[in-house]
Amino acid sequence: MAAHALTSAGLRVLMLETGRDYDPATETPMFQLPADAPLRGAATPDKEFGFYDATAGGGWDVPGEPYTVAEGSQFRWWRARMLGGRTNHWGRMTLRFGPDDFRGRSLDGLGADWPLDYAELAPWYDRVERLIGVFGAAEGIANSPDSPDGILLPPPRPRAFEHWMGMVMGRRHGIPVVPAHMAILTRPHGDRPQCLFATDCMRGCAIGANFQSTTVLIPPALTTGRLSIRTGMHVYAVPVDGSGRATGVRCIDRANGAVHEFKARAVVLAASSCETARILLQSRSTAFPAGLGNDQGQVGHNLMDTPSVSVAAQVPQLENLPPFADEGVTLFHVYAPWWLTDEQRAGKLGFARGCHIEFWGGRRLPEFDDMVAIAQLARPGRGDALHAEMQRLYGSLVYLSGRGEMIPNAGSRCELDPDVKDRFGLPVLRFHWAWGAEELAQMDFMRRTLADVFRDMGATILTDLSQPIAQVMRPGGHVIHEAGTVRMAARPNDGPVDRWGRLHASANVYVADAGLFPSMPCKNPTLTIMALAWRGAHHLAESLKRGDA
Amino acid sequence: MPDRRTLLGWTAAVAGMLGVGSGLRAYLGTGATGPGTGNAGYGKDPALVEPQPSSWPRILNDRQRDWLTSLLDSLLPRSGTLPSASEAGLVAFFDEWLSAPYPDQLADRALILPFLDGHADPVAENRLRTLALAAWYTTPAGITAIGFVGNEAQPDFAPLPIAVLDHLERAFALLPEKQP
Repeated sequence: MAAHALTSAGLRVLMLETGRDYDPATETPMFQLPADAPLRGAATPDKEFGFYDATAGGGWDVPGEPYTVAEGSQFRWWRARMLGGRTNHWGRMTLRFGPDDFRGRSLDGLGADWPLDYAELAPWYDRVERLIGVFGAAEGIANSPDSPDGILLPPPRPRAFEHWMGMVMGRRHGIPVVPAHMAILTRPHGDRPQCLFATDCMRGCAIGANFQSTTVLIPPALTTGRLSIRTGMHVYAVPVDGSGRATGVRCIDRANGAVHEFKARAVVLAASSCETARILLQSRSTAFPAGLGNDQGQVGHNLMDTPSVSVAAQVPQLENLPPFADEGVTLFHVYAPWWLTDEQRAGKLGFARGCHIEFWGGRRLPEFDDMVAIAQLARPGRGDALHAEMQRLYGSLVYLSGRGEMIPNAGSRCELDPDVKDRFGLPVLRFHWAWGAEELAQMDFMRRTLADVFRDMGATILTDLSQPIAQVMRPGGHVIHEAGTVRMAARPNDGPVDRWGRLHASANVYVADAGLFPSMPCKNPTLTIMALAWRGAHHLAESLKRGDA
Repeated sequence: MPDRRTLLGWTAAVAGMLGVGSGLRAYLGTGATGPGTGNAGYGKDPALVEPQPSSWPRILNDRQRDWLTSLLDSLLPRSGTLPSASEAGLVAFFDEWLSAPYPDQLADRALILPFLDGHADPVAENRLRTLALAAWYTTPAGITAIGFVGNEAQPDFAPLPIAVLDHLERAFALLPEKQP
């Protein structure tokens, strides 16, 4: 995003990507079938989200580039090693943070306020949504802002299972189920065609009908003639001059281990929350002995992820539907936004901050892991009786996922491991992780709520509900929403980065990833990352033109 | 991110390995694949548009394959236009699956191979059935047979068929009165 904004502003940009070049137009397996893939495309440690997932060279485990987890902590770190990084693999949920999300501490005393408010970020949300194309609707939901008229593309109708869940949740439980906001084109947008309403978005999109930076941001930036890209370059440090200003970056060529140093007037770090923290911590100098921007010892602290709990069920009302096309955009058409703002303010819930509900299931292309799930439910039999069982069960499994908001805590952070090095000899990150009381209470509430919805429709709940909530919540990092490691703050002692995303300690170093977030609401982070990146890049461009960055 | 990952058995295997030992522990991945182990999988960056057949050596012998064929075809015989399990390529599938160097598949190998050698084991038999159904229903014939319609470009996303809407409205009307 920052490279797009800076090249648009007339500046020359060198983009350094640790992974390989990647071209969705030629590398996306759009219509390939599970039977064409090894092991029917089932997930393996080499391809943790299934064979066809759009992640190259990475995942939970990058060979030769480990990380460590402190005793008593559970954390996993998803990394891609490809141009466009994790924008090639994401859920495309594109929700604005609301006014309350920027001032949580003022409202309930927890966490940190942002050094900017919703009104200040709103025009940048508008710009990003216009640029990338987002479907959704204006619903007038508390603390979930509508976009101005004319920005959002029309949402697709709910898929059959979403329609059913929406009927039951809306009419019998008072839980609104509304169109999701998704970075997927339901109408042509600029020179990009609309969605094919087929093939899994998580494989990527060869025609550019969903948002990946490799299809939406990098091509127009390249056409300016002002963007150069070097792939396979692993940035590990930002050197500074005697005045504390960055002089460029140091990186390692991952192919041969050679060290390179590139000079620049300014540096933008958008390496993902934790890798950006690692780069800053490795940038030790006489001026910054604890790492660049780390005078207050805050870099790597306040690490957050999205608390999540899921309940799966077999829903009898969805059995034996007639065959019809219901893939849609293959990701969420609907979601349930936080619906209890008033009750929470009145102190009736016993926990702070909101949650939303995501919907998985439906009559998708049969994938191996989904077929394993329904085969396990098929009653005994053989031949035609068994086929009838599979046909009955297909499309009747529904997974609801509750997503909450983590309050940053001292037990969740990353730091340089004092002992372990990667294959380049660089210190690796060591993670510490602990969920707090608010997250446990949110997820306990969500699990009870989701189970009630399923019980009310006579569904067979497949999730073991007897476990303590702390044991069934996904461990840290699993939702891949890491945020907060270099948070924005008005004053240097509250966070390493200022309200523009610029290091307090070094006026020509900016951060443009979720490391900036002082809080991480239940709304998914990508849109806000992009809005902040564009706003910060605009500030950088203006500063460079004035000569004061 | 997708919740289907909660269904993936191998994550439990990985978590189990990470739990071994105490004190600071490196994230070592599964340790099941990679250079020097003699157990190479397809790696972290395989070609996706034209997938290559998996390269690990197959381990089933003729006797195991014969027994597997009769087991699978007894479970899923040819029926009308639907191919039998062996006609649908399930023997080759099991040979690939049970030979694979990944944790899930290694666990299945340890469970199922003794069963194929004649040791009665209802757990193994049930797992074999589950894998057979998943394999059959991910063939082109299975994808159609199960009632899936799609995997081809649509000009627009058509409305829900009236029959589906009616089915769901009738089902809703049949729900018992909600308990407070």
